[in-house]
Amino acid sequence: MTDEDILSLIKKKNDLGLSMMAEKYEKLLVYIVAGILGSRSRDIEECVNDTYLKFWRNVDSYDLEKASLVTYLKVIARNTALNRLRDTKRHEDRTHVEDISDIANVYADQSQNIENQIVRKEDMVWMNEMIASLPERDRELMIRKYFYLQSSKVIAKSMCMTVTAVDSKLSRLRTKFKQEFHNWEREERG
Amino acid sequence: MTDAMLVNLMSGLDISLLNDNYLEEDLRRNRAIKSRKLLNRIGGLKEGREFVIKDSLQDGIEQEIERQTAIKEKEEKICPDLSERLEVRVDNVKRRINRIWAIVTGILTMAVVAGSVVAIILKKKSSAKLLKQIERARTAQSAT
Repeated sequence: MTDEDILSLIKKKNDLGLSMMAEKYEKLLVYIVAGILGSRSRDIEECVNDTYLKFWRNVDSYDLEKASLVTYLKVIARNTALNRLRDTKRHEDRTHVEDISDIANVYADQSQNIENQIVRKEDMVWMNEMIASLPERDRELMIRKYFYLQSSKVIAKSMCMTVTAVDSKLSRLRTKFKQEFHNWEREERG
Repeated sequence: MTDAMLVNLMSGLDISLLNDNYLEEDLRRNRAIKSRKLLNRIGGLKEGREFVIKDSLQDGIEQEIERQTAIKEKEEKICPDLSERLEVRVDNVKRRINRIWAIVTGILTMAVVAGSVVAIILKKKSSAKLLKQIERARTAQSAT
C-alpha cells in the first residue's frame, strides 16, 4: 500500500490506514524513540502510540508534496520522545538516565534550565540556512547527533567512521556553528 | 550556545531538510539490532503478524472522533452555513463593544452631572458668604 493510500484512509478516519502505517513504519519509529529514551519499553510503546495519535489528529495538515509520510512520522516521534525525556528527568530527578546516549543525557540535564528552552523564530531560520549550506556528510552528522540524538558510537557504525573521527568532526562543526551564531547575533543587534 | 540549544534549534528544522533515509539505511543494513530486540519485547510486528491497535490508542482515536463530531454538530446547530456562522460571531463582538461603550458613556455622564452639582453647591456657598460680608459692611456703615 502506498503512502498516498494510507493517508487517504486516515483522512477518512479509517482504522485500516493506521494499521497499514504501523505495519510499514513501526520498526523505524521504535528505532528513533529507543535512540532517545533508551530501552524503557513502556515509555517507547507509549511514545510510538502518541506518535500515531498525533498524526491521526493533524492528518489534514500534512502535505506529501513537501515531505513524505515517513518524514512527518519521524519528526513527530522525535519530538514526542524529547518531551518524554524532559519529563522523565524532571519527575524522576535522576542525575544520569541510564542506557541513553550522552547527548540525550546532556539534553535532559540542560533542558531543566528554562533559558535553554527558549528559541526564537529568527534563530530557527538561521539554523535552517546553516544546515542547508552544509555538505551532505556534515549535514548527516549534525542531523544524526542533534536531531535524532544518536551516540557517537551509533553514528560511527552507521557512517563507517571511527568514534574518534565522529567526535572530532562534530567538535569542529559545533565550534563553527557557535562562531557563526555569535556573528549572526551581533549583526542582528546591529 | 549549549548542546540543548542546538537540539532545540533542530526542532525547528524545515521538514524538507529531513527527507533523508539515514535511519532506514541503518535498519536495512541490520545495524539497528537493539531496536529488533525492543520490538520483540514490546510485542511489535513480526513478519506476517497483523497490527492490532492497542486499547489506549483506540480510546484516544475514538475520543478524538467524538470530540470533532461534537464540535461540528454544535456549529451546525447554531448556524449551518459558514458565512452565517461568521456573521453571528461578528454580531457577538459588535454587541459586546456596544455594551462596553454604553457603560463607559454612562459613567462619564454620571461624573459630569456629579461634578456640576458639586460646582453649583460650592458656588452657592461662596455667594452666600459674600452676601453676608456685604451685609456686615452695610450694618457697620449705618452704625457709624
